Amino acid sequence: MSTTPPEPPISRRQFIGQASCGAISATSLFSTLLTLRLANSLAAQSTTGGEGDYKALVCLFLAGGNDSFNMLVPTTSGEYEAYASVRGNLALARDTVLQITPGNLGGRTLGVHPSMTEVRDLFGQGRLAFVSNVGSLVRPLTLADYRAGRSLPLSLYSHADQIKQWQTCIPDQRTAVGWGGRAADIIKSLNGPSLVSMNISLSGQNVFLTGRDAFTYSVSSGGATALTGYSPTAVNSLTAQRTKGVDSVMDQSYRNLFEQTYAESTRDAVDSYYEFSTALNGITLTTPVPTGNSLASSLAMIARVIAARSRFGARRQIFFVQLGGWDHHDEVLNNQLTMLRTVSQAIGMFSSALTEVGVADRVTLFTASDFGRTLSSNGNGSDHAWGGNHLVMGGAVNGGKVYGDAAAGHYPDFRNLAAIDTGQGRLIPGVSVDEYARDLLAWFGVSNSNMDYVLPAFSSRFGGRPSLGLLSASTTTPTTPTTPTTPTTPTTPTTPGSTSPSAGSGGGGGGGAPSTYFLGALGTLALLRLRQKRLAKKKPKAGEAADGPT
Amino acid sequence: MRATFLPRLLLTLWGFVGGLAGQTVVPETNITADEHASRFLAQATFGPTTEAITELRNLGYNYSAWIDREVAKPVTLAAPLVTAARESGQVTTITNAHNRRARNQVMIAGSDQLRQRVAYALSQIFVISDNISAISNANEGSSSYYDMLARNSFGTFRQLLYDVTRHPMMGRFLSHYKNRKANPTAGTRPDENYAREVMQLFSIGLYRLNADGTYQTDGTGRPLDAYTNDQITEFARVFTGFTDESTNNTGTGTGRTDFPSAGQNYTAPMRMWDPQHDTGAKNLLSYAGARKPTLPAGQTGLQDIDDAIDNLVEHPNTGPFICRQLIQRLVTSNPSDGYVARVAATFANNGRGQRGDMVAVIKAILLDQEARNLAFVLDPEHGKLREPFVRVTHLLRAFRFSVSGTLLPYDFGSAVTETTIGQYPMSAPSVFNFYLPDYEPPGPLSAAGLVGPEFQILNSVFGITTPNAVYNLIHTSSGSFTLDLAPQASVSDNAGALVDNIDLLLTHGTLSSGTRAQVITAINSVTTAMVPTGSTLALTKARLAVYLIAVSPDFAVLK
Repeated sequence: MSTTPPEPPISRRQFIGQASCGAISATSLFSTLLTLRLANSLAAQSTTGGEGDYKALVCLFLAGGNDSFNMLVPTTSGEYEAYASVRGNLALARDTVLQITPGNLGGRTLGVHPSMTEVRDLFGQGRLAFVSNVGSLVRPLTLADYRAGRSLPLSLYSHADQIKQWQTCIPDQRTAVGWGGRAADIIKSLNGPSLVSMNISLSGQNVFLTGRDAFTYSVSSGGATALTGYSPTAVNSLTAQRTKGVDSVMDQSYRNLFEQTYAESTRDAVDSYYEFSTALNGITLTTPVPTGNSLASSLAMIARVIAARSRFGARRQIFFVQLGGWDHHDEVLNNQLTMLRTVSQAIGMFSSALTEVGVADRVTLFTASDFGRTLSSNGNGSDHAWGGNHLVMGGAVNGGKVYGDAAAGHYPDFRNLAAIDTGQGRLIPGVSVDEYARDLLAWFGVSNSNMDYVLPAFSSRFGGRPSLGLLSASTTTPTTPTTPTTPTTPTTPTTPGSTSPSAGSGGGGGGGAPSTYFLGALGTLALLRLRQKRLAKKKPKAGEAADGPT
Repeated sequence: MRATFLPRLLLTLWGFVGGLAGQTVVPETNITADEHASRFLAQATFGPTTEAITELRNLGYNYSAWIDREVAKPVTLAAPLVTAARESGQVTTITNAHNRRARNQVMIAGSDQLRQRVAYALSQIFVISDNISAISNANEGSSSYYDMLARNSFGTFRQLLYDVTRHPMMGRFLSHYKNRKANPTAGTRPDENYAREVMQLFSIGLYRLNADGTYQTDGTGRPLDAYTNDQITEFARVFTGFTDESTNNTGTGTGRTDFPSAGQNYTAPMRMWDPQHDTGAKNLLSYAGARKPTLPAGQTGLQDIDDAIDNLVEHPNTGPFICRQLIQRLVTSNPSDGYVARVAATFANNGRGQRGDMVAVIKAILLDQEARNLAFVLDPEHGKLREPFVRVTHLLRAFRFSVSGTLLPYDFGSAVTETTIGQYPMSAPSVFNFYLPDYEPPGPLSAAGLVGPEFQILNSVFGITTPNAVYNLIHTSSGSFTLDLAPQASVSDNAGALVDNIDLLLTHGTLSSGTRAQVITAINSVTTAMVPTGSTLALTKARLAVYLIAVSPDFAVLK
């Protein structure tokens, strides 16, 4: 792996800005900025200790609510029969599931879904663990609490809300900032400057990776795409005129907030393409990637991005990939046969790819889902429920075990679900998403003092509970970045009005720290007026803060 | 927004170097009557054409009369196009692609444009998706479902919800097809999927609403749930007993109570097979004015269905919940509370005592001052990101597209699909459509507390692949579609005239002076030496101008 970044292709726009600033020659600025960027990257590398401290989280979101009590099944004598009884015609036959003996269940045995041979193997190798009966909780809850409607997550059993709550870890307020995004807010300063965010999605926009400042870079499993007919190095050609035209239009500041957002998004997409595609150039895997498996293709792309991490100056990255179609009200058995096969095959490939790249113990993949499903059958499917089982895979995972509510034996005893069954086999979770996330974040490098920012509800609601012990503790904690100084008003610090970095109304780059946006005095006043007017008329959403509980 | 070190340093440099040029651009509002008509057509159809603008001019720009004329037109249907293809022998097996091509034809070229545009909006609320094989492998089923929406676009909301509920494609998508009543012996109970989504998405929504669409809250500001999980279970018992339409009256299984054997019927309304219908008493929604909050035992399945549909339609939430979304699909993402209230009031009573009059609602949406008054063009918070599919159809219609081929020729091929532009009609990733009504994109919009649903499918992938799809359409073709830019080429020797021509069709006269200037500069910079082989200077200039405006924020956002 090279230690100096390759020459980055930087768009002419970044130097020329508006066409009228022609007094400065583009060439001289290009080399000036190139020198600055290289110096910056090298500086970043030297102060942060180099490659040795890289870590990445990969969130695999199974959208729709995976029927995960058929992904991990109790097989101990007595327990299996109780499982078969409550699941009725949805029960998997005991001799078809793949037997595992977790190291911490005192001899109780479980079975992995028949399609998931790679998962079973990784469990046996100690590279994979299960977390059982995880779900969104406002606080630890009893059945009496549930029946009385005390402290319930908002809109339990509703897809859109539960997806959001899994991704924000804030189940009692409507917010759209995710815990992956907040982790990036804290930690992104460990990374070198890059137009490609440390938060990378293979599945488009998502709440999980959205932070207060941190944004998401989306890419498809085939890689980034170039804008047709656009080239920053073209001169004196149709392409050059088109490029100039696109740049000049996208670089304008638009007063209409929709136009401004579109311009910024397009600008970012075009710029980050160059960095991304250059970084990935020549990075290939020898690990075979199964064909016809879209999840495997996405995970293979993630592996390649990780292989190219030094070209992004990245010491920390968070990835998101979603696989949809799990809402099995119908045909759950047949559907899971193929879909869990897809998941297992992809995870198996990913583990091998990470080993090939040399980062097996630096990358942790974890699953998430809206919810588990009812243990009882609706005929040939199951309906929306609550707690469900998940898996965590990586070299740093304390594998070969099942982590859950320790007091209840880590994995629910199907002979005795009365205390947690709200009806139809909808189980109150024994582990909150907060606790699940906390173990992952602590390993990732979020210090205790910063954990309150990333998981605002954790310490007051779950702080007394012991850590799950999912992952080996880090031996080297990176220099803790300070909590970002964020405004106390519940708005993001971004202000509309001008694009970055070129256009702006009037000079503003002078005194004080340069801000990302330049606004003239009149523009600022106008915006304040507009914002006040809109916030006054805003529909009340329950206790909503833009970024979490106050 | 992107607090990277690099641009900050650059900005400081620029500060010293001599300041930055560039002022904030605003839309033009000095627009002609034709341009205003073009803007109306962008809201009410799949895109303005010069012919349609002329028609409106001849109507004296009377938008209400235009709507009446549209309502009187016969509906153009997609499913018969697919059936005809099979019966002519040109197609042996109907595929999903055939259905898509048939629907493209009626949406893009149907003369009943308002109806088609409303049907498309309804397809994003009453969502089924060919994303799953039960829909994509159902012969004409998906087109039959779309046609059902089109037929109901100018009817009553009650009839619409009833027909949606009984359509076999919705039955398969939300699994109330062959939903059996509870069987205590087998330990099964009815599937709750349709019961949940018919409330959450198709009628009342998650939270109790005021008449203007704002949330009702408790003392602490928390919104109030519109329904409980128990009520879902009750409604699930209503939606039991549906199966394929057939004339076979012999049940199967124990006591012959299970569904009769029948072939799959993907188009006729589902049949109610009463032996599998739960006939017990049921508790539905209770609200002021509810006619039957409780259903008595012993009703037939269809009686239960009728009463349940009424119970949902007549709930005070339904008007504001549905109307706000229709406004978002046609006009603007953040309607004022007043706008929602006015449209919802029309939903509640069309002035003649009728509830759910779709034509009255559509008129209320399109003729409201918030849709028509040009002052809103200048409101920085007004408007919406045009959804990518409609941007494409807009370009097709504005630039006199032609299609090649004869068999279901409205075929985008691989150029325009959900993977290239982020969406495709009736192919949403789930019943939650391509984007949520309350999606707030990070950045200036969320900072202002505004939603922009269509931004949910704008990211660094589609931010490039959608302009690329537009590029291909303009410079070559997309599947069987080709544009005709001859009218634009013919005025391209005068850059201003060329831009005006495109401004009328794409940006309805609102093209900002800033973008106009940039595009004119680009056009005037094209030399003969730059013209690609086989093209002309005129056409090259025309394509460049169309492309730049088509990808500009001025066009991307409908104001």
